[in-house]
Amino acid sequence: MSDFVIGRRELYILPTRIGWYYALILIALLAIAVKFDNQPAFMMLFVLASIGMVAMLYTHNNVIGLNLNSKPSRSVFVGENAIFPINVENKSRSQRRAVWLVCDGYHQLINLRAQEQQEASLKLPTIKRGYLNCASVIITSRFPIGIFFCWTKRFNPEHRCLVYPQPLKLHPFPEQGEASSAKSLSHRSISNAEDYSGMKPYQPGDRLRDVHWPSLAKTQKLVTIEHQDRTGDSVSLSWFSLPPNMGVEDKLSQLCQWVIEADAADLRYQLELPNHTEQFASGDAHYHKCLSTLALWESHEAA
Amino acid sequence: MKLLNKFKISLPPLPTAPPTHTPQRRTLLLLTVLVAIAVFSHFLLGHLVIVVYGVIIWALKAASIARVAAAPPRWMVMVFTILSFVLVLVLYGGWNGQRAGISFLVLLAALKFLESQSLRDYYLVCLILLFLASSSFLFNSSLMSIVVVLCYTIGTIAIMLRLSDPSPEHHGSALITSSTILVKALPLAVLLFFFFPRIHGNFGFIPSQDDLRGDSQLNDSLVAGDFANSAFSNEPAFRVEFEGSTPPKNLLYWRAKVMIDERNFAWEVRRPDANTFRTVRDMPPRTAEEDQLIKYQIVHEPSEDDFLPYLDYAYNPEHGMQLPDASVFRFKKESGLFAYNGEASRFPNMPEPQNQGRLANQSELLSTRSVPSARVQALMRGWRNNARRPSDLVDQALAYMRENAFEYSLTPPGLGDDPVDEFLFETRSGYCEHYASTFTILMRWLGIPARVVVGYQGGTQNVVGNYLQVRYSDAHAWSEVWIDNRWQRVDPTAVSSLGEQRISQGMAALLALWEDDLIDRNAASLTDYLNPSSYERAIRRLRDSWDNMGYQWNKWVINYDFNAQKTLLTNLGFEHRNSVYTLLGLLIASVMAMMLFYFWQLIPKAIKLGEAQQTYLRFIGRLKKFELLKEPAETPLEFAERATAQLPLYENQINEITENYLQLRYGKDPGSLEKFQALVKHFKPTSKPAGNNSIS
Repeated sequence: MSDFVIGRRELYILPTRIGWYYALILIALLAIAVKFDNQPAFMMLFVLASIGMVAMLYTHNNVIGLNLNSKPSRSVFVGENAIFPINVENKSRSQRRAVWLVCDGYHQLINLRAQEQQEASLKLPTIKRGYLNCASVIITSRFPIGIFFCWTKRFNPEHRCLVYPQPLKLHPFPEQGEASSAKSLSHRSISNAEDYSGMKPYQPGDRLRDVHWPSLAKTQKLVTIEHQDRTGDSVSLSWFSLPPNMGVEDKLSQLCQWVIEADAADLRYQLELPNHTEQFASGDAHYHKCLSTLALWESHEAA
Repeated sequence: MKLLNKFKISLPPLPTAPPTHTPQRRTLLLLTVLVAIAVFSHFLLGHLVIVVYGVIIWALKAASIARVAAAPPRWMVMVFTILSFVLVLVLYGGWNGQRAGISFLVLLAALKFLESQSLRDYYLVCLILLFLASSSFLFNSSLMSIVVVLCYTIGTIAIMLRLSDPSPEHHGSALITSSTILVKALPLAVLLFFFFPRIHGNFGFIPSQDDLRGDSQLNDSLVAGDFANSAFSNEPAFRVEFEGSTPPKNLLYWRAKVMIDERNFAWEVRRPDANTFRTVRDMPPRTAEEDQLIKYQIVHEPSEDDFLPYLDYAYNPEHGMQLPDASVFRFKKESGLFAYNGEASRFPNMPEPQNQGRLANQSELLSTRSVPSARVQALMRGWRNNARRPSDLVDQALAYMRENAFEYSLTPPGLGDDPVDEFLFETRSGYCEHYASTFTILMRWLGIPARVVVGYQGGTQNVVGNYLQVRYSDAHAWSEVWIDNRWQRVDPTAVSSLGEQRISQGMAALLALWEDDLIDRNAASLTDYLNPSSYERAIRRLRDSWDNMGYQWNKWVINYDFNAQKTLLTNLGFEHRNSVYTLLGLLIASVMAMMLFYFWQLIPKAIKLGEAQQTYLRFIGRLKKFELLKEPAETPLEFAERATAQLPLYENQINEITENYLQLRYGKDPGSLEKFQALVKHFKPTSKPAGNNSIS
């Protein structure tokens, strides 16, 4: 875990457009002062010029010495925002104000007191499955008076985000492999109220019919109804049970949806893909294993 | 690109500007206030119509900000802009002129403010306001105005701060931060101010100087009654700093204008012509012994006058040209304050003979427009009979005034057709013009060449700054007579009652006397003035302090021109260098030094580890050889647990050190640092089981 420290060689500073206008005003003031030999005008000219120079130091010192390091990010499904937590630390005795963290169109304002550290969550859109590398992060600031701005070299966070395929519900959940499970599934679809076991916040992949809509109206939050534990039931989620005319991504999306449903129903499930099978299991580890297999399907990256 | 790679040079990344944002409403409201101050204070300078127009534009924007409404449509801004062009052109008759320029700037600020929508627009409004505040010095450069302008600058910078930093929790401290920036900028500014080479130049695109308005000055003609008005003008005319002590008041005759042409009791200055200048060129320079000279420096308030006051008699005036009548004429008029050095003889009553004792224009100096009346003729006949020398005539005339109780008054009765006769026999009351006129006319009738001199007499000593302040109320007129082949100063006012006080105590004393009632005067209040109570003294001291601040400001800042800069360089020991390069060198050196200093001062420094932390690090270092490395995320307790597991023999010591350290760093009741240091010092773990380790 290497820190990115903004040293003097990582920091660049230039006047902003307003800064050039500021220089223009100073030149005009110089012309006035020289033409009328007006000493107070000279005085004000030098006061403003010195303010400009002090502001330049302020801008430079506002950013120099900041430490950046990245933290692992949670996996998300395609379509959701990948969130890269970046830790910004100010190890110095002076406060840092109005520092912008810019990352590929996303930006966040950060204020740090002396010796404070803050976590910025960079949100990047996901458009395809697989590993998503965080775009380079740049720190920029026009503090204090906007006539200078500084920017840093690019910081490339080492952590990447695993993006699972987008769950798509194109085909019904497959029949359970065992007879008892099949009965149980049909049983569940009929009488939901009986195996009601509680409510939980909505997670992507939850079935729409499980969403408790009245709560949405009341609390503005999506809540799904949880069903009773169903250990013992098992199902095979197979690539080969899908129609062959489906596209590869659609198949992966459908499998992804099924994995979610199976996990939500707490079934034991296996995932069958060409040349690869995740054996029957349940639990979080298995769930994520299956999803990452789907995410990295036919890609050359190692899991 | 290949070349760059070859030399392993990497280009810096392309600039990434910080994202913009919509300014907050509170910031905009504050900006509205600043623009209002600019627009409303313009009525001091600009045309009323411009001010009203500016207020209308401002009010439109203020309303839209207050109601969070959209900015006005573009065509409206265009119409307003065209209208303001027309207004400035019509009201000032063109572009040329500072007043037109500043009016246009004010309208520009208001218009830009009106059309502002984005962050950059509001920044630009701030920049225009900064420029406006700075250029206001063309009209007023008093000490008060710089205080006001600096405050305004702080306010504007605070707005720029709030525009750059959108986090609302910082907005309270914006004013403090901008003041800090200004305070840090001031030393740099002072260095720049003193070392920046003053060049002269003319830029065509800058509006030219407006004509100065007729400020108070000495008139070029002397008509009885003029000075009575100026007596109440408390405006300062100039301030004088003497080398050494200030001479006594009755020697302080500031000579400005010499009047030769008399016209029915009124006198006029003759302006120098080409002939005069030719005479001046041929005149030998006047020299005097160095130790006989009084040296002084005058800082003169802005004035349109062609003649400069110098202490009687002036030697080698620094500023202006000394004419044959010893008055000093200047060709170039400064737009603002100006300073010059002067030298005067210590024996002002005895100037050396001029032109080998021959008067070139004797007939002019004897001509009068009137003839003496019978009474006056009889009087003069009596003086002539008693006089053996011309100086006796002067003494007799003065004695006549003294014996007949002539009175000095600012409200004398009016004089009729024969003013000399009436003044000598009837009213016997008047002020300096009456005395000087009458006396000069009498002398001319008696055959002695005489002239009237107008200037200032006396002044008020500023006890705080140790300089003499001469006001327009100190204006005075006296006579000069040509006797024994030299001009001699005669002040007939001095022989009148109260006139003597006027000369020896100064006009301020007399004005204090007349403060309550111009007619009724008693001697007690004059004594009161000269021996003030402690309260009065404190008030005067306060007033002097304030005036002194203004004077020092004028002397060091307003008047810091090319010459003053040269003097400074000489004092710094750079006498024989080319001043521009020396100045530039000094400028760059000092500014770089200052910036470096700031750079080190302002650069954020990491907090140094405390003693306890350093000692603890030493403790960790001791454990390194057992391959016990403390992870950054590990707490001291966790580390201790790991260490004791590996080194069970030292369990007690490790635990004690850790406990002490935690107590020192985080405990409510910090333990003793020495004890902790001693513990670490004695902690010398070896790989062999140490049997002798004792628990201290």
